[in-house]
Amino acid sequence: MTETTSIPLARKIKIGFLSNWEFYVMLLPAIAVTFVFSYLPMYGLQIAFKTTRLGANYLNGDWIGFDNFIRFFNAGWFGIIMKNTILLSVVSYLITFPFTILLALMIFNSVNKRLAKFTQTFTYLPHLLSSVLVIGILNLFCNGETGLINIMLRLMGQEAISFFGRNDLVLPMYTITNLWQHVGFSAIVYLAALNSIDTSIVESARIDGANKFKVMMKIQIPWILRVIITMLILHMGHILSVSVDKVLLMQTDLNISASEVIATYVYKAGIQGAQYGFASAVGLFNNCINMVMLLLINWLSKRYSETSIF
Amino acid sequence: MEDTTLNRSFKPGSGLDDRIFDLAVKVFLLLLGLMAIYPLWFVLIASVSNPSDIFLGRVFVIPSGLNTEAYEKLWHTPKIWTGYRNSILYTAVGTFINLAVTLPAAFALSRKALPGRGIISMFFIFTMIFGGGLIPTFMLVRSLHMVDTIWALVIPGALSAFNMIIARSFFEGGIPESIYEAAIIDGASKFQFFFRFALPLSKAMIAVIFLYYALSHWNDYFSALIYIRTPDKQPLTIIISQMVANVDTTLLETMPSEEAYHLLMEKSLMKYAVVFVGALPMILLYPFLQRYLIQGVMLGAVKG
Repeated sequence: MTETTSIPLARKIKIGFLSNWEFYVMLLPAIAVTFVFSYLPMYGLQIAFKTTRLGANYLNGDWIGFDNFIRFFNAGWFGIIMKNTILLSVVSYLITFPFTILLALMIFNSVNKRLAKFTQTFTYLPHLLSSVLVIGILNLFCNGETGLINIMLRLMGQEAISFFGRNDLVLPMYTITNLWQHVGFSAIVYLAALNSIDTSIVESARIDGANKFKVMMKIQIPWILRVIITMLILHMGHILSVSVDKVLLMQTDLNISASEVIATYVYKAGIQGAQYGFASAVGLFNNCINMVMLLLINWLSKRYSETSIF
Repeated sequence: MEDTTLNRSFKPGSGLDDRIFDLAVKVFLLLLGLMAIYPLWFVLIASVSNPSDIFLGRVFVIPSGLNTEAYEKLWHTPKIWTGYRNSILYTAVGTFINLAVTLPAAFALSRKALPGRGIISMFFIFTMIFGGGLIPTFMLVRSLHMVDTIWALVIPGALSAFNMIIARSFFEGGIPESIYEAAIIDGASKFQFFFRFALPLSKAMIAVIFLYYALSHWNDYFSALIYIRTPDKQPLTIIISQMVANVDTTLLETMPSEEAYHLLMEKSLMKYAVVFVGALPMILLYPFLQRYLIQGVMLGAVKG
């Protein structure tokens, strides 16, 4: 006993590491991949503060301080893409969100279980489809001459609508496809919460004469309110995230002033335009806002809803 | 796993207000279910209909005949086959690498006695908060000569910190310390324990993680757009986007004739078929996946 306690701390730590070496071997691939593909790019972010160099020594540009950031803030696009990013993300969420809760409540309260299953099955399915397919389907419905909607409009004697050529239709199309993709799937969390309601509470309320609508308003909704708030808080951390695939696929020259968002702007400036320093600066700006939001939200949710993201 | 549709306390209502409520629920669910499936249904019926019938607005609910022309054409389109082959390859290799990297790391981090556990966890979690972003990652991948190879699609994202944390908390809860200690005392090495006990005991979680990773590879569009240049190496998503996305009404504008309409309709018939062929694997696999998808949401909610 005295022997083990007399071992110096440094050696104890060494023994701890050695006797667990297998675990470190198991961790090695994950650490290596994360180091190379997550941490090295963070080091590479210095090109945001440098002149662009092409080729293998791309990190060797001259320091130019915040010039790239200043150029971005002064560019005419800055206000537009910030507005578009926030608008697409926030509006599409605010519209999908209440539908999700309503769908969960309806599925839960359905007397006809087969109907509930039918709706669940069909509302989850779109969640599996890629953005390419979703926008592909949107295309087939909204295409200028051959889309279903325009065929119907033409039959009713109306003018065809150029869906992908109008700025004011970007947000509705993004929102509707979002709703289709995610409404069923996002409802699962609320359904699980509804399932944990103590049935005796509902039964006694029913005996006391409460009708089903009252049970929904007075028992079920208050019960899932905490989940609702948690989900809202969690989503605020993604306030600058829009689906870059979807926006890119929806974008045309005609609707660009409503569909250019931070992510598509970075892609075009960086990958297509090879302005690596400038695009990195825009990306870094975006990441910094995201990080601040996430930390803020994490602090908020720890404080008010006893859950944390990390 | 609880059945999320199961609801014990609700019987059909007896009072008038309850009957109205039941009816409203029924109408809402029916409408939403039909609206959810209609886009895919329309794509399917349009793809087998006569193009001019679609154009005349005769195809809404049932197909006008059974016209397999578009599918025959697609069958003889090598691009589609190349896309399928590539997507299957990228998904299989990518998902295998994902699991090989994620599961051992998650298991190691689930052992509470591991020295350095907190620091190593932070090392992974930090990548969920901050990252280098698109351009520095692209420059790195390029300087490693991975552009236009499968490796650009499967190596940089080999570990999703989020999935690893889900797996870690499952290993923490699902593999009691006592089983682990008993196995080690019986002489099992830590590797043996991982393969013989930890993995078989975690099938449900592995299925979910597998599904998440596989879906993200199968549906990936953006990475391929950035990294893959050779047409022969493009995954199905890129091929479909090329075949569907181009909205060309120029033909009609230059010569607005009956013939032009017909050509346009034929082209759009192909598009319906392409989209359906692209969605088909998911539609076919969906009945088997649904359970795991729901479980995945619950696993993620436990520690999201």
